[in-house]
Amino acid sequence: MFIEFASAARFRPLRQGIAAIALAVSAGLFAGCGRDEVTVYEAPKDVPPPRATTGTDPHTHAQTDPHQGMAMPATLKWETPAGWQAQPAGGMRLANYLVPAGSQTGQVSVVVLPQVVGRDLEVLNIFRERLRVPPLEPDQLNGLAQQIPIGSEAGHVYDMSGEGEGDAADRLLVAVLQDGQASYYFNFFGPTGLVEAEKPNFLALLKSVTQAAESSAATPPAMPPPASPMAAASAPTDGRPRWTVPEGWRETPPTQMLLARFEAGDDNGKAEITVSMFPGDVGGTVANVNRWRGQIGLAPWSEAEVTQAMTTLEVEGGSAMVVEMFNDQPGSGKRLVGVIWPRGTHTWFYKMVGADAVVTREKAALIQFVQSVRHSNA
Amino acid sequence: MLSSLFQFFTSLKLTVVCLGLATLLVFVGTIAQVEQGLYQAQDRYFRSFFVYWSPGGADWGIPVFPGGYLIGGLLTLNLIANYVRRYKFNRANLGLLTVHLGLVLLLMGQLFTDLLSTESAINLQLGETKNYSEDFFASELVVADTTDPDTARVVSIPTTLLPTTPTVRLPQKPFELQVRQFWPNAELLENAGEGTVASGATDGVGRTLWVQGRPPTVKMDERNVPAATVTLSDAGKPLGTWLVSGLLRPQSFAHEGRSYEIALRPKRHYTPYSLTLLDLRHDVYPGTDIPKNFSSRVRIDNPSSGENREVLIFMNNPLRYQGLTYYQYQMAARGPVKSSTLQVVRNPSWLTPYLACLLVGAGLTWQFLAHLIGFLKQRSA
Repeated sequence: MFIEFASAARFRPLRQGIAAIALAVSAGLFAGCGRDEVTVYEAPKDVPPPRATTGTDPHTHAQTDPHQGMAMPATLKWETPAGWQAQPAGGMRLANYLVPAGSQTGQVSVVVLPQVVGRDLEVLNIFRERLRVPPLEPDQLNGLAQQIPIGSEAGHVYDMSGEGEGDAADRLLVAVLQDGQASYYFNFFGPTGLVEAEKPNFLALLKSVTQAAESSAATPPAMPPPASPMAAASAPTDGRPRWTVPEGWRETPPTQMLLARFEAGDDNGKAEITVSMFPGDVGGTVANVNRWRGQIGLAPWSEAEVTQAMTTLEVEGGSAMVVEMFNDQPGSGKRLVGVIWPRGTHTWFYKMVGADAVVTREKAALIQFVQSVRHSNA
Repeated sequence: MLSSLFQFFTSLKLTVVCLGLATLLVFVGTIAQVEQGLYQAQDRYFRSFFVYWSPGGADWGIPVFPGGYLIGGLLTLNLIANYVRRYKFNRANLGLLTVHLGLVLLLMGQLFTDLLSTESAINLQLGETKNYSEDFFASELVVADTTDPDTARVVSIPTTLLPTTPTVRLPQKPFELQVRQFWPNAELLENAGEGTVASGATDGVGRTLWVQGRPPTVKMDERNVPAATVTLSDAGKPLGTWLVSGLLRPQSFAHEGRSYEIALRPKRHYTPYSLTLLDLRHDVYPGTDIPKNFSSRVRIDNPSSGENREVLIFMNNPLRYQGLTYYQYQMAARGPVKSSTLQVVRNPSWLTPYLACLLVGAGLTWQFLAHLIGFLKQRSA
């Protein structure tokens, strides 16, 4: 880099002084920039975007008091069918209605999920819990969707039935509208006869949907700049550690909350294995064990019972806790084996739940699986 | 002491070592982007004095390698110090001096870009007017006095302070703010589920919500949405506990006859002018869904200069205005709510790479011509 320099001169105080000043200026530059501190400023109040002017007296489902605070990407408005009774809404629900018909009642709700797009399977399976039917598999989803206009946009609707016979069986219609920043779910739940009778009103409501943009604060924050195709292709798999998947386990798409999901067993009985990780202790061991007990229909344990049921498992860099539970009630027969692994500032959960025989058979595989886990920075 | 320090900074061995370390750092930092994402890797390897290694799960780290700032700073000082020590001005060396000045300018320009530039975005629904953009990464917890009908007096606390500053005395407000819990990235649910905790809020919409902490994302197309539960108190008397999150709207409360709002939101960068989205277009090639062009027609309204004009921003044709550059970035042209997002870049030193390249080019040209002319003279003699 330094060629053809003159021979080194004697150091002079002036030159040393210049070097010292350069050093001091550099240090000051670093020290003075990028410091986070509390600031006070005055700013004009936010100006809401103009309202849409369509419709004469529509029911605008803006941020009224019950759900004041939820950051919806946009507010919609629609015309409520005659006879439907508006109920308080809150959280991510834009609206709730009771749909009375004789001695029966149906329920309509409008739910918005900001920044959730293209996750119909996971969301529908949450809604389907009301029908008390098994979750949908990915390949079942496409056949279920029917195109439908929602306002001036193209949406789709899922028509699902639950337990029961004929008109008394539960039925759930879920219409979905997506705009790239959020998904809007219009749910109609009730007895089949009622839902069928009120379906034209439900479709009319969907057709009347228009925008009623309400508040700039509702806009979800813009995403950071997109990655280059190369970066996207080499992206990590959601912070998973390395592990060895036991033979016979099949990996299935994880839901939003999970790092990984597997399935074991066959048509005679299945078990699901999930891996999740959260900051902190997530409510503590007792709370998590009792949450698992609730998932298979068991009553909560006391702290002493939880402690007694726990066994220790040696894992990479420390130990984890293993707990097993079984619901022997007729109609259940579910067994659950869970591993709680506090690791640094986070807690990892490995859970296997399913048919008794499968979980009993696969328990050793789960233990081996957890012990095979290696975290990248270890 | 000063003499040995000067000797250290003028050492050519230091140059070689720094260049070697820089090569290694660039290689390791580039590979690290695979697992850590672009921005986290940049912060860890290049925008730092040291690269730290943390034993599994620990929240402290051991410096294991010099970072970009340290290597770049040493190289710059080394270059300057060597000129101070060794350079003798004459015409033959003028080209070299210019080349190295260009290199120094390039290094300093990159440093200034790192320290001074900001990237944010302004999302406008059709017809909406805003005079601020929102930071891509940084968030702020704000408590605003909204009693005045037109303006809000805002106290802004960067969320980077929340984990380490459990109590904040709000300047010019009667409140003290206590941070009870902080999640760098969290989702809010209406019902308890896997890994959720009750918000613990006693006021506002958060009373009925559950918080699900999520691992901070390093993906390029996602952003962390922080959340916190905070208690406000006046002279030790608690006023309430709120759940604040980037997923929630500002929550209102009143105290001693004044109105306030509390919110956690992306950090705002205000401008003395406003932009209004007048129209947006998502053009496709005929008969296909292949995008041809995205464009936003906006109105600039600058009360201080009286400027009020329309501008069309489209791909590769940004708006440059008062030190900011607005690029067409994202668009929702087909949903029920039509909106356009412009990326806003402030880079006060954006000219330095151009000037540096000019200097290096001029220096090399001078040096080449000096040698050529000398050679031709020698040949003709």
